[in-house]
Amino acid sequence: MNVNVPQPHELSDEELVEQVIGGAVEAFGTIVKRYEQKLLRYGHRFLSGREDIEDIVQEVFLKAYQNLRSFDLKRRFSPWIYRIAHNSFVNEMRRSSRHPVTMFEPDVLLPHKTIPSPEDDRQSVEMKEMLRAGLDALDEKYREPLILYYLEDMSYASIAEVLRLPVSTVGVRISRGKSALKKNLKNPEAL
Amino acid sequence: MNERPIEEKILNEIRARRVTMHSRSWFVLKHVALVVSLIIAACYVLYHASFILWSLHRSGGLYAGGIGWSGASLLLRAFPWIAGATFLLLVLALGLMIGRVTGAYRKPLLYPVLLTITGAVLGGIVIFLTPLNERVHTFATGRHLPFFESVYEDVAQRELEGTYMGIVQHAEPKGFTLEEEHGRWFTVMVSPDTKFPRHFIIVNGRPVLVIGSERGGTIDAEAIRGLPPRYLHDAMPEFEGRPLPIP
Repeated sequence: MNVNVPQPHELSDEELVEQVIGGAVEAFGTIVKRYEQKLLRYGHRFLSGREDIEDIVQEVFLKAYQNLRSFDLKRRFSPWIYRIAHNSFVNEMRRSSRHPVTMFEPDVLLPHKTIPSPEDDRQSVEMKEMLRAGLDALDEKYREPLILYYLEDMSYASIAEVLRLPVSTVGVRISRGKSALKKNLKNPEAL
Repeated sequence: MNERPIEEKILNEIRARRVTMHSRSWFVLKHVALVVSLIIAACYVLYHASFILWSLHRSGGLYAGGIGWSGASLLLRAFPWIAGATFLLLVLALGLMIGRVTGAYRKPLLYPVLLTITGAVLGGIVIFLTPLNERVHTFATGRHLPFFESVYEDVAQRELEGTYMGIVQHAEPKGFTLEEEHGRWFTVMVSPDTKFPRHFIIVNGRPVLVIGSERGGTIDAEAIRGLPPRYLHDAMPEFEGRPLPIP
C-alpha cells in the first residue's frame, strides 16, 4: 500500500503549525526557512541602518514558537507572524529612541472612504525604485503599510491584521504614503 | 568561523528546551484574566458614571431643565468637571481594551468608543436609579472611610451660590417661605420674570429648587422648579413623612 506522505515544503504554513503543535519540532525549521528572508527584508526596511536585525528576527521566531498554541489555525499564519515582527521592531525603535513612536493616531478614529487597492502598480518597476530611494525618509506610519503592500505583496486585509488597523485606514495610509514619497523625491511623473 | 543559519540556532534553542511553547491553558488563563480585568474596569466606569449623576442630583444640577438660562448656568456650575474628564478618559481606555480583545480594531475606533460611551452612560443611569451611592455615602461617613468620606461629604454639603433647595411653606400669590435643607428659612419673592417649567404649581409642602439672588433673607427668584420625592429622601430625610401636596 502506497502512502503518499506530503513533504514539509508541500504543506501550507497552517498545516506546518499544526504539526509543530503536535510535537514535530523540525516542522518549525521549515517555517523559519520560509519566513527568514522575508522578515529580514522587512526588518531592514523598518529599522534601516541597524546591524542587529538578525538577532531581532531570531527573537521574533522564538516568540512565535512560544506563542504558537495561541494561533488560530483557521486564520492565515503570515499576518500573525508579521504582527509579532512588527511589535518587536516597534519595541526596538522605542528602545533606541531614534524614532519616537506615537501611541494614538487620529486617522484610526474616524471611518474613511474605502480606496480600492491599486493592483496594477505593484509590479511597476518605477514604484519599486521609488520605494527603495525614498522609503527611509517617510514617516513610520506610512512606511510600514507601503513596505507590506509593495515589497511583501500583502493585501489590505492582511496589512490591517498586522498593524491592527481598520482596513480603510490602511488604504488611506498607502495613498498618503505614495503622495509623500512623490513629494520627497520630487518626481511629478511617478504614478 | 561561519555564522550558523537562523534556522539552526532556533531549532537548537528549542531542542535544548531553552525556549518552550506556552500551554493552551496559559493562554486561556491569560484571556480569562483580561476579561475579568475588563469586567472590573467596566463596573468601575458604570459606578463612576452613576457618581457623576448622584453629584448632580445632590447639587440640583440634574433638575435644571425647563427653566431657561438659569438652569443651564446651574448645570454648568454643578457639573463635576474633573470626574467628568476622568470618566471620558476611562471610557476611551475601556473602549480601546474592548477593541483589542474583540478585534474591533478592524473598524474605525469611533464605533467601539461611541458604543462604550453609550453603554457607560446608560449603565450609569441604571445604577444611579438604585440606592447604591446613598448607601456608600452613609457607610463612608458612618465608618469614616478614607477618601470616600471626604468625596461624598464634599458633594452632599456643597452649596452652589444662588441655589436653594427646600420645602415650600406658607405659599402666597407673591411668593412663599422656603424651609431650606440646611435648616435656614428664606422669603422667596416671585415676579413676572421668574421662570417656571410648564404646568408647575407652588403649593405648601412641595420640595423645590430656587435660583436667585439673596439679600437679608429674601430671595428674588429667577427660576423655580420642583424636586422629585427622591431628593427629599436622600438630602432632606428629616422632612420625609410630611404629607406631600396633591399635584
